[in-house]
Amino acid sequence: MKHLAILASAYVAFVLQSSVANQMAIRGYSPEFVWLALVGIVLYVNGWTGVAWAGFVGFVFDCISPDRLGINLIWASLVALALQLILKNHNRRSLFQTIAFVFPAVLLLSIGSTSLRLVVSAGNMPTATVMTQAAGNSLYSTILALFLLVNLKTALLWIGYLFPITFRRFLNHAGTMS
Amino acid sequence: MRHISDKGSIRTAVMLTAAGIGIAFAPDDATDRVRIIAYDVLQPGQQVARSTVNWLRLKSSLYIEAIEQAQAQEEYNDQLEETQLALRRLQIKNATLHEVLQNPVGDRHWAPGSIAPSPLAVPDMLHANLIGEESAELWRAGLIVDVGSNSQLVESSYVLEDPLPLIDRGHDVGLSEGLPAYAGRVVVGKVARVGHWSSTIQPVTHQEFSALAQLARAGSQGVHYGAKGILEGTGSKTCRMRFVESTFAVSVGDLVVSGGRDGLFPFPVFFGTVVKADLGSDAPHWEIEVAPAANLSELKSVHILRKSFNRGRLLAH
Repeated sequence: MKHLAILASAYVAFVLQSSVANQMAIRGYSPEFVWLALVGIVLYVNGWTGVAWAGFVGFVFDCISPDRLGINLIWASLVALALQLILKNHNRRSLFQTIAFVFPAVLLLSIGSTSLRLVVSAGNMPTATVMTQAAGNSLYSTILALFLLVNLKTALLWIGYLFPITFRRFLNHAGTMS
Repeated sequence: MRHISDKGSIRTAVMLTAAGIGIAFAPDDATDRVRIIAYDVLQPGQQVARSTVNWLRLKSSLYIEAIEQAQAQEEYNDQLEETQLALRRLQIKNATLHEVLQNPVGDRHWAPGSIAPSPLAVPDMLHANLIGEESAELWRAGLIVDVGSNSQLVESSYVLEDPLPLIDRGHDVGLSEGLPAYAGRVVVGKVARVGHWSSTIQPVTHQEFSALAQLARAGSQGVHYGAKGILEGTGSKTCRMRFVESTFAVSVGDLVVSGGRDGLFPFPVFFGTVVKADLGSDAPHWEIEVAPAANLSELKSVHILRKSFNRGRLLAH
């Protein structure tokens, strides 16, 4: 059941990243749903399972990115391992500790992913602009995570309410199109 | 405290890193197939997400539109309420003014608790018969009262020589020159010459007749009074009203009433109706033609208005 929930969370994160993230941009900064999901997985799944899931998330992220496959798989696995080693004493019940880890983790993932892509595909080093973009995206993602954690129940209810209605509309739309 | 299997995690990370390196060097055909599969798996979710976003946008725009409409409706309601209040105030004011018009000076109170004093002069209407033409001829010839000149019953030649219509009242009942003559509420002329027992009446159409007059217009909420002027006879069947300034509105059908401020009657007395009203370019006054409401030659009797001292005032003091 836990793994099903992880898979569903990852799927939602990928969907949001690929379809809605750009529309949620504020002053050019958009949230990083995939990295948020990855950090969530690492925080709440112990051992090699968490690293494996992180690798899977990185691999799927590679699939929806235009860059070479494998880059995010490698980076996500290594960051997940590092986070697990660092967060040995993490208190999952503490919201402050959780949020305090989210921002640097997402920042690390974002900068590392962008930098690796630039190096591998174009042979360029990341610039200050890239760093600033990554920092802004990470901050946005952290605020979003805080909002979701605080309003998790309400958010789940809204998702549970909206999702069936939207899915039913989608089915109706698909039926009329065919 | 959470216990982590570091070795398992490290081993997994190493394996995934190796796999990633391997995949990085995989042929493009294989990687493209994997990408297509990934996009196909994500597509339903993406459509759901886009539908949700569009639905949320539609709902929010409808909500904002509903709020704006509600605000606009509230503003319209406020404006309507203000307009209705203003209308109500004007209706009350109009009703008050109408009541004032219906109750002239004698019935109004200048201050709470004060009573209007009795007038100094009170109207006294004297009935007088118009002497027909045949009788007037005989009267002028002195053939009606055949008692001889020594009895001092001879009418004044001053009256007998006047060709104006005769009435059977004179000094004997206290008539004096200039008193107005009425037929009901219509002014038909005024006393021209007064004899011992008879007098002559100058009709309103006589070229020497003149009186203060005022224009009036009957509306749904009462009579509205307009400009004042001088009503003069022209020697023809109509009169004219002069000295009505061009800034006032005059139209055919307007009423012409007495313009004096005596206020002896609780109602205005009537001269006639405007039948023609012309205003030349740059003319300072209107040229108004008035048709008299009554024709003296068609009447058999008139009432002469006399003013007498109010004996009630004498008794009160």
